[in-house]
Amino acid sequence: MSLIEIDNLACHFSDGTLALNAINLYIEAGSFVLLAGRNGAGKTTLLRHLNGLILPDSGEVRLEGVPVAQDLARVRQRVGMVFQDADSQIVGETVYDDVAFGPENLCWPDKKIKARVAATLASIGMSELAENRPHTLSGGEKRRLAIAGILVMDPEVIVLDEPFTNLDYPGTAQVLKTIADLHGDGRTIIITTHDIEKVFTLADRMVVMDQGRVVRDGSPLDVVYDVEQYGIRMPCALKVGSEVTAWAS
Amino acid sequence: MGELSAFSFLPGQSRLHWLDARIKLLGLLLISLLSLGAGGVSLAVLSVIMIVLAADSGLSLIRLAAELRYFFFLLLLVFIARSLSTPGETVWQWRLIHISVEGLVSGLLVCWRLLIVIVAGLLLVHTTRISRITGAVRWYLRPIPFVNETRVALMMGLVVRFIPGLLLRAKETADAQRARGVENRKNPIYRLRVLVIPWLKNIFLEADELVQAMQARGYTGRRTEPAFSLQRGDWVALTILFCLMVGLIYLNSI
Repeated sequence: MSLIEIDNLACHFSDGTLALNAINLYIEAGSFVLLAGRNGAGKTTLLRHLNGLILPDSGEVRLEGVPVAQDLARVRQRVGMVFQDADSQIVGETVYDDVAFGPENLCWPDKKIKARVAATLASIGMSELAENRPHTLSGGEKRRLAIAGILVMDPEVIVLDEPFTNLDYPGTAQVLKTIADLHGDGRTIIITTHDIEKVFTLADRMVVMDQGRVVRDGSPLDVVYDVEQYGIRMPCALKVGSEVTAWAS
Repeated sequence: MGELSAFSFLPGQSRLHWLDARIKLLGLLLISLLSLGAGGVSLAVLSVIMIVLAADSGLSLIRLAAELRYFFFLLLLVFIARSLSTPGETVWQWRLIHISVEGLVSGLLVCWRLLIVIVAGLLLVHTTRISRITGAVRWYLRPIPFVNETRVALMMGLVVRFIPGLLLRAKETADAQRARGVENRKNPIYRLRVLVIPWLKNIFLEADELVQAMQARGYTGRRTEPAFSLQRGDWVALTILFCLMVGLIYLNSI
């Protein structure tokens, strides 16, 4: 049994447009999946099915064999989601408050929340920023805070929607290192990005979507030479015949 | 406008920072109610208290004035309206417009009362985590039937949390309009329309995104309640608050 199983998933937007069509995907625990595709391909819509923010019109999404719709509270703890715009995800008045938001929703006791928040902030190197106000953080720090906000709930799967948007090089490197560390800890990572070069060496699987369908699925090296026909830029290094180097170790 | 910061919590070690949020909320409520009918002497007493508390919590008078600079325009409008609309002994007249002594005094008092309430609210927000404020709101509303205290507290918390963001977004939209020469258009209604429509559209889109983000983080309405316990200092503050209220009621009655 795979950790996440998606069978014949279809979904329509409110205006009747078909957003996802006959998606079949099986994602193993501990894998690193790169989900690529042009704007409007259906990547974000697919991701939002994984923790029940959108429920299928037809087909089924299962987490550990249990349909997502059956136990949303459990699914939202097990599948953490980092949104494209970190600012819209941050709800706390301070960094500490924001990280504590998820555990408070899980009704954990106060002592446990304090301990978990402190441990999570330490694990991503943000302990010294605990009392800072989120809007004073840099872009990279905000994205790491968004990751901390879901990491504190100890999810098995971490879903990241375009995590490098609006980040400069240091910010991108910080976020990449955090993601690589999380994968190193054994967590399952599912990430969408237009800049596939940044996570190319980290991913062990690449799924390409186009017009609501999965059109390519395999190891990144097998899939990457076909991607330009789907509006995705192939890494420069491969175009000149050399190897893609890692952005973060 | 986006740089407004006293309207959000700033960690600190002042007396107000340590005080139980329920007592601060009660204090704000009582001060607001009493200042509505307060005279000059009561308002002076309250002003001194506000200045001392602001200084203790790290807000200087200059900083307070800077944070409230837009609010002063509203106060000015209230003052002018009161001065012109209250009948009494005329001090200045031009055609149909006349300003009375009673109008000036009444305008001054109303503005002073509003200022006290605003400063008290600002001190509460500046020295209290939103989670503590919303926890205190829930605590006070819980015994009241037919009131969803969790939802009320959440709405309050989100409003306070997003005021700086909304102001920042308004400034960004205004800057974008200016960059495209909106100042060449003299019609104020046109300028307001092109500012407000994209601003509101962005706010609604962000609100939608926020709802999704909160759901993704397991928000259902049932949450860990903040643990409140009154310490010795809280009891002392509560006693001082009630003594102050009794004193002000006495001052207002004479």
